[in-house]
Amino acid sequence: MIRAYFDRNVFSALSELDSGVTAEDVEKLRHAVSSGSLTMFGSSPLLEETAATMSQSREMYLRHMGTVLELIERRRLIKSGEDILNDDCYNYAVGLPEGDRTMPATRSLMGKFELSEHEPHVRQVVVDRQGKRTSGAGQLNALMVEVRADNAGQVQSRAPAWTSCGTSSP
Amino acid sequence: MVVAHWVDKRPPEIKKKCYKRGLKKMLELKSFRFDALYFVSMTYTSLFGMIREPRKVKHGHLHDWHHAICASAVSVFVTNESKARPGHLGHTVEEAERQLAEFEATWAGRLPCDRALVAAALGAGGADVRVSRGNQARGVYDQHDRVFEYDVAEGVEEPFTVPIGRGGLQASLPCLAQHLKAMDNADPELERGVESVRDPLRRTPADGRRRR
Repeated sequence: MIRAYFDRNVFSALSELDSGVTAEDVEKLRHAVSSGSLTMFGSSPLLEETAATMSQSREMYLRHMGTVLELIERRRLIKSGEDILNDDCYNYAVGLPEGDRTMPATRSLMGKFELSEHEPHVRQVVVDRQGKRTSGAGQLNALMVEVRADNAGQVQSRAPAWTSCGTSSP
Repeated sequence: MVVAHWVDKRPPEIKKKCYKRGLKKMLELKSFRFDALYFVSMTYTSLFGMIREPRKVKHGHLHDWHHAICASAVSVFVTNESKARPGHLGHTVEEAERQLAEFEATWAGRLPCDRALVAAALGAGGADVRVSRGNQARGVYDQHDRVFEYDVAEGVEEPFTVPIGRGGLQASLPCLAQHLKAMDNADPELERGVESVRDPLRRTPADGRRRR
């Protein structure tokens, strides 16, 4: 069995049938998933990005989120990047092997993406997330301008970058 | 620096143990390797660009950063990200070499780091597999042989083997399926809504570990 992670732009191609993807390709993926030869995992960044299609149109959201929820393993999600690093760091420190980087996904959580019942909530989340990411990108760009101005060619501290991208360190 | 930033924020005992085992060795962990590569690539293109103009960081790049780390959970990562567009990093070592040659010509002797090393790292920083564009077999284009092999020979503080590439060990066993179903609704904090996909998981218990 292959364990795979498709990032957002692949799901977009699968949903829109562009970038060389055909309906036949999608059908092959469906078959691989249903037969158990392929397990595609989702993640919170994937779901967030897919939810952002709501800003384009309701139809697009339904099409893209439908593709995602149809293909991914709905009982488990890949942990957030922050959690993965945190767990790997701990395991490394105490001499444990790398642990499973997925986590259980509740049925009700996945159900939150069913637009029929939660559309206002999804819309609000999309606005919030987009705002935070855009703000984070702005801060990172400001940092880069600062570094370039220093003409040092090095980023001395990574903290501002992490803060900017929303992975606030505990 | 990239690993140290993370380790330095851990509880003192964890931090101490990581330093004792060696931070460079942590780059053998796929998650930290992907994290570091993406950070290096994003920083590099943001500072210098690949063809004259530095690339502005967009919010999508921050998502990609998370995707890169998430990719460490599986054996195959598929992306449709085009690295052939102006201002983007090369997707393969060959593309990276070509772009670096342009970059070097532009910046003359002011290239800030080793060319071969960067080319290798950037090529390996691409996805294992990407969906083809144009007429490139119109299928899944396997680049698994380009996965970066991190050189661990240098700077190993102590003999300690970290298992990597454990995709097989993570495979779901058929006998576990029923238990996985039984785990549904295990965490009430995940019940709050879409936004709780991330936020509750950011909270760190006293021992510095995350809830699984």
